[in-house]
Amino acid sequence: MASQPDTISRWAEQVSDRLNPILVKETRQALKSKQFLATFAIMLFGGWLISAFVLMALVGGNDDSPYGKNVFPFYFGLLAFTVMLVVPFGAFRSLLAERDLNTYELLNITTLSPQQIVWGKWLSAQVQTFIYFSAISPFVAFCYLLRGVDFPTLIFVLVSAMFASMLVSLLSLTFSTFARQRQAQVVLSLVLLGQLVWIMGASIGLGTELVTYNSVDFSDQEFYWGGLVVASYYVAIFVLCLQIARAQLTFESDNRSTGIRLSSAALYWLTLGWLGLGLYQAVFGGTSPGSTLIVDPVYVSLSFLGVFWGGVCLFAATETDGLSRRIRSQLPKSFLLRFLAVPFLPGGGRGMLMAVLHLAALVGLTFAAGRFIHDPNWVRISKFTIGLCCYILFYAGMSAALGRWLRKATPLFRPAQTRAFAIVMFALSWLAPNIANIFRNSRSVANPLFYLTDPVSTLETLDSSVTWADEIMAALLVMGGVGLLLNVHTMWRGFTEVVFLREPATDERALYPQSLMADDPTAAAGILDGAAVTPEPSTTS
Amino acid sequence: MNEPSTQTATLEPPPPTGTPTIEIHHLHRFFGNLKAVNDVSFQVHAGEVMGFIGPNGAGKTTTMRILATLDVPTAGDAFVGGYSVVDKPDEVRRILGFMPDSFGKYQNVNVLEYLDFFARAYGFRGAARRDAIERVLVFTELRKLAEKPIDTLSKGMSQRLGLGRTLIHDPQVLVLDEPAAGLDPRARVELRELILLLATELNKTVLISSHILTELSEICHSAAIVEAGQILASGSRDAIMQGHRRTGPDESSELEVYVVGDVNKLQRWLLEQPHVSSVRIADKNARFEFTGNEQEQANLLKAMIAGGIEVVSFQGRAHSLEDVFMAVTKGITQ
Repeated sequence: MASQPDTISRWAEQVSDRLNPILVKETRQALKSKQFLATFAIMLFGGWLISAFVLMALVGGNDDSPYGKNVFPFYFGLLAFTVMLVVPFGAFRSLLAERDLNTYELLNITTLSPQQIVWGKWLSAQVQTFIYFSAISPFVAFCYLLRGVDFPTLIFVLVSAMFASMLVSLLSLTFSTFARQRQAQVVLSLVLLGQLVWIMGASIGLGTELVTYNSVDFSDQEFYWGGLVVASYYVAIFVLCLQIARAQLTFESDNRSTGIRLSSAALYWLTLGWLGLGLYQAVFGGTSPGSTLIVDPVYVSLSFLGVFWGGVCLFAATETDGLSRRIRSQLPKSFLLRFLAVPFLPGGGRGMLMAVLHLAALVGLTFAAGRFIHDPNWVRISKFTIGLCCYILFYAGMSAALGRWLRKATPLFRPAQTRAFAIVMFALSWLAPNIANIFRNSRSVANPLFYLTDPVSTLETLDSSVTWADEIMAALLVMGGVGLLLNVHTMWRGFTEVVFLREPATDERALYPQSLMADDPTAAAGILDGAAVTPEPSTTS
Repeated sequence: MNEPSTQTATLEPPPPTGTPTIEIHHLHRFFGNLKAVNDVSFQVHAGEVMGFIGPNGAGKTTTMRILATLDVPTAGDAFVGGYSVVDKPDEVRRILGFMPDSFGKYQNVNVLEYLDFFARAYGFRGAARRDAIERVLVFTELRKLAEKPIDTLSKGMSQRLGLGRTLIHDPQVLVLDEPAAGLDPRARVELRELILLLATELNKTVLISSHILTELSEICHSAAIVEAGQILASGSRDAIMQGHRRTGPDESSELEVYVVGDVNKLQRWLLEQPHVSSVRIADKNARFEFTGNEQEQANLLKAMIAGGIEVVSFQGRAHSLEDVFMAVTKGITQ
């Protein structure tokens, strides 16, 4: 009969076999690392020190005040320091260290998927978070015993801190996947550190506020609705970050886009869903007769959605066209599935298609809602929505077209450069009319069409001005149309490449991400022509 | 994987038949204007050790990284065990072990934990994982160092561990980038023997790059010489050397004669003979270019002895891989 230690050891091994290998390795490393031991020691020592001071203040005193809420910020500060700063920064460093120590490539050539790598790193950060929470829990219990702290609020704050830490760790990991060069690593480390310090400070402030003033009203129904909204965005952002990090670690010829596009689309529809629910509640949920719609939240939501979707479209539409052989071989066999999958598959044309379809859906939904919402404000919202969509179409379409032209001119121009160029172009066109006004000695141009490249000013005018609204709308529709027309051909090619399994044409192949030859386009085309006849091994496996 | 035998493995080039395990077809990898790999093609068969030789910046590492699926070709393709590195990288990774030129060391990890991690990363579970680790520890003779932190290992032991990591999933194909760099002579010999065992006894396909050509020539069945991203010569070791001789400027071969007595007399005698040129003498030997065929070589020896020259040895001077390398490369750097 096996002895008890043997049984435990065998059981532990069986459990570890089911765990992510990186989690096992990193946990072993972390428990031996000086950084973990030092942080743990600081936390415990800090906790004991605070407790000792409190006890000294209590012993011999007659003060019966509830000390709990005064002491909590110190304990919570210790916790926030570890789980909002040390652990996320450790997760960030963990992936960077793989590159510094030349182990990343070793990891990359194993059979671990990029997703497993990200999960492993993230989970090992969570193990540390759990240990730190365990270490602080006796002190928090002590704090509760000192009275003045509401137990449900305390639990709510701690659980929220844990979830916040989980997301911040993932964000840090995602951040680290972009830091490939040494200079980028230094810059991103500093930026991240700044952000983490800010998040830590904000967490301490918010947690203290909630506990000190017992400001969470658990009996309020809106608290749970708010919680649901936050939770849904939490999950959506978490998945999006995971997909971005996974894509960054994915093999170049593999599909890096679909996960990001799907999770971005989910976030887009989630926003529209919540917006729709809010509107439904506002319109049909017992609004008093004669009252008008409160439009500010709608504008805010649409503006955030516009910025988010504009970013997504910029990234998706400026991808290089052409599917790699690997992705082509993985396309669904079913015509219908391929048809449905088109907007979510890699390629700038298909990215533009995704942008257009989603914007069209937004405009369609706005008009459809107008049939039920008989409110004068809704007309303004509809115009605002169309204007917003036109801007996204124009800037994304221009960026995509520009990227294609520049890549044709020099294959050294890659999507990253296109995006940077597009952002600069967007910023300049936004600022240009306002800068021009500075040189006119405060005699600002009155014609709102002069500010057409400035979305904020134009959308404001569109919303408020009656006299210029038609002209602005016409101009925006022309801009959106131009953005669309410039990409119709590419969108069609992207569509047929997937749906009808069309082979890429020679000029498309020249834009393939792997074609980096610069000096001799003719030779490049020759080589790629050769490559197009896919080499076969002597025998296939 | 077996324990290394105490006998030195013999070098028998395998017949170049059957399906090649590594096939590279018109591989190109350009970085902007730099043509790091420019139309490289070659094949390696099971049980074969191929030396991948070239100066720094020749494109060896880039080619190897493409084979290991760490990079993608600009054009062309490479197949490992029949799987394309572009289309089926996951399958390639299962059957290929890559040892890069730098050994990546994790901190706060010992030898056993290091191998354990990679065994897990390759999907080994439970007893299979323990067996895989044990096999590697025995093969690389690292058993005694199992509990030693890897950042305290010597260079030689680190390279052994690196080889062990490469072997943990028992790959069919090994791609070793400068595995002997920085090793002392003993460690180099030991590593060389391990690599030979892998090819000759375990039938692994080995593609190995090194700057130490004398060593490569001792373990390689075949070689590919690359410079400025292009293959200058490739094939079996003997064929390359033979080919180099054939492609000499005057179809000549170099002969060397050791004599007892006056070497100057030998020089004078040689200069009077047909097919002989460029006679150079040393202490007791003479080297010269000979353009005749084998029969004429035999006649020359007969005449030499008949002419009263006391010959100790008469031999064609073997071209080393180093000679071929120096002859075919031009020292181009990019």
